[in-house]
Amino acid sequence: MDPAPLSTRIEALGDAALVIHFGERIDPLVNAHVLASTERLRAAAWPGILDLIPAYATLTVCYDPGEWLAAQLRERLVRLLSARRPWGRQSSAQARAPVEIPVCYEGEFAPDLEAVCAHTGLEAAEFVRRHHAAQYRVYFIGFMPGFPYLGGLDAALAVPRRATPRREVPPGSVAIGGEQTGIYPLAAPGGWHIIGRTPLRLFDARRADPCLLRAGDRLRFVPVARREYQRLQEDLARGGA
Amino acid sequence: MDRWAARVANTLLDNDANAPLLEVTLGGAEFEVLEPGWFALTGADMAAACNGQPLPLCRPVWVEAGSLLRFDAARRGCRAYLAVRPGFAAGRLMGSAATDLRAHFGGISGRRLERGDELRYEHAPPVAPSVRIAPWSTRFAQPPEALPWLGLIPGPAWPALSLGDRERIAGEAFTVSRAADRMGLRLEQSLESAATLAPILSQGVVFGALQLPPDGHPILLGAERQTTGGYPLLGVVASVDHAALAQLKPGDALRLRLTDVAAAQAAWRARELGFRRWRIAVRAWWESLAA
Repeated sequence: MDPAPLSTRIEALGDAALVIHFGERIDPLVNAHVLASTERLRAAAWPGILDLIPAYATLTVCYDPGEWLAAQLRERLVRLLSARRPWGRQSSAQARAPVEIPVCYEGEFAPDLEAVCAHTGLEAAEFVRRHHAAQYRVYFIGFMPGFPYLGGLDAALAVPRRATPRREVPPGSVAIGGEQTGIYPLAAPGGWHIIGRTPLRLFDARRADPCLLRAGDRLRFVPVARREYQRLQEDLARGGA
Repeated sequence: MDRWAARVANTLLDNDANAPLLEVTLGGAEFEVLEPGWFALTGADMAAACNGQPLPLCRPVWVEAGSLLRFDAARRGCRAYLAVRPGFAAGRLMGSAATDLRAHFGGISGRRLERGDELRYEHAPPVAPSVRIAPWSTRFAQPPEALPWLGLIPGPAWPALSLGDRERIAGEAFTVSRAADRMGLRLEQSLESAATLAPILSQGVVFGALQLPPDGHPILLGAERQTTGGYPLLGVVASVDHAALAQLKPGDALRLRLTDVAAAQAAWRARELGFRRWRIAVRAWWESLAA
């Protein structure tokens, strides 16, 4: 169901983008407005709209300045956003079942587990239990292809970022940075603490839908032992999802 | 990265505006032409030569089989665009033939071209025409000038800058550091306000956005930028100046001049109008050639 209307603020970001602000904080309700508006705009398919970038509390609308003047587009957006929408319609993201991400929290897959336990004062088993006990929300996909910004981390697991970022974080790494947890889809430099790894490919350009996750998805981590991790990895290598 | 120069190169050959072409960065490339065809070159000046003869910029040229195309180091600008008619054959991923070098997808296996790679025309090349070089060229997409002025539209973090930083941005020359690639260009100079600006809630970022990370060195974002960012946004370079931005290389200097959305959009539309008129003339020439 679409959330009730909320006051919004629209500001220009250069001469080819407008940013719609739905709120100023990380909040599932605010983000639900962002995603519902993204879907409405996508469905409207206005010519000259080049990109839609949903984030925590904003939707950035990139447009061709040859097709739209900022003031014209702003007015059209205000009209679209304030129009009443059909009540009770399920958006596709909300209709999806929670996505389960198998994670191995052991050994070389979790090089920073010891450090984060020392910081938080939790036993490794308790830290891992709390990490996979929670249900997370994918607020949006950003930073790099397929990278989910997740909300819902147990506050006791928050750890400041590493003082020195790693040159390369292996793909599939599950990590904690500040009050956020995320999964690296691709090898990349990174300053978050690595506490596990998933064999799933979060981004695969060869798939019809390259990103495994979508904004609005619910997500759960499922702990797996090393043997199970290896079995899953072999299945995937043989051409699984 | 320089979408304008790429668009002009394709338009010179009456190609689709998004036909696949090659981006040559900083120069030092050599191509052997196996089958004849029409070529067009725009963007940076790399003293390009065909069999030792200068290959003119911004003009359609017929190149014979067996020719050798050579690009020296860039003398002015950073990126040259080499288009063929009607485009290079390339697979499309999510509607694009572009290469993402960071994430390793698109183009040819998501990587740079390597010695020995073979590229093909989208269609079989036409029979040799009666004309081997267009008797005209364009003033669009000429090699960039040194020390370009880039229009900057102030962004959300602009009012939070110190007066001194605002004056520096709108007056001083800035130098592109060695940390410059398709993702973004870090500037050598640093701004004092970095210490007082708080990070923002991550939001979408655009081509030409001027970000200020905590270390104080501003970054101008390019084509391969991340989709979202959390650094304060000082402003965005006007679309009409994106080409000049894309042509900057490490060590180059630039100056920023403040503008606003209305003025920047008016400048874009004026250029677009001229471009569309020119495109009609180019089409007419190609039709006359086919007749």
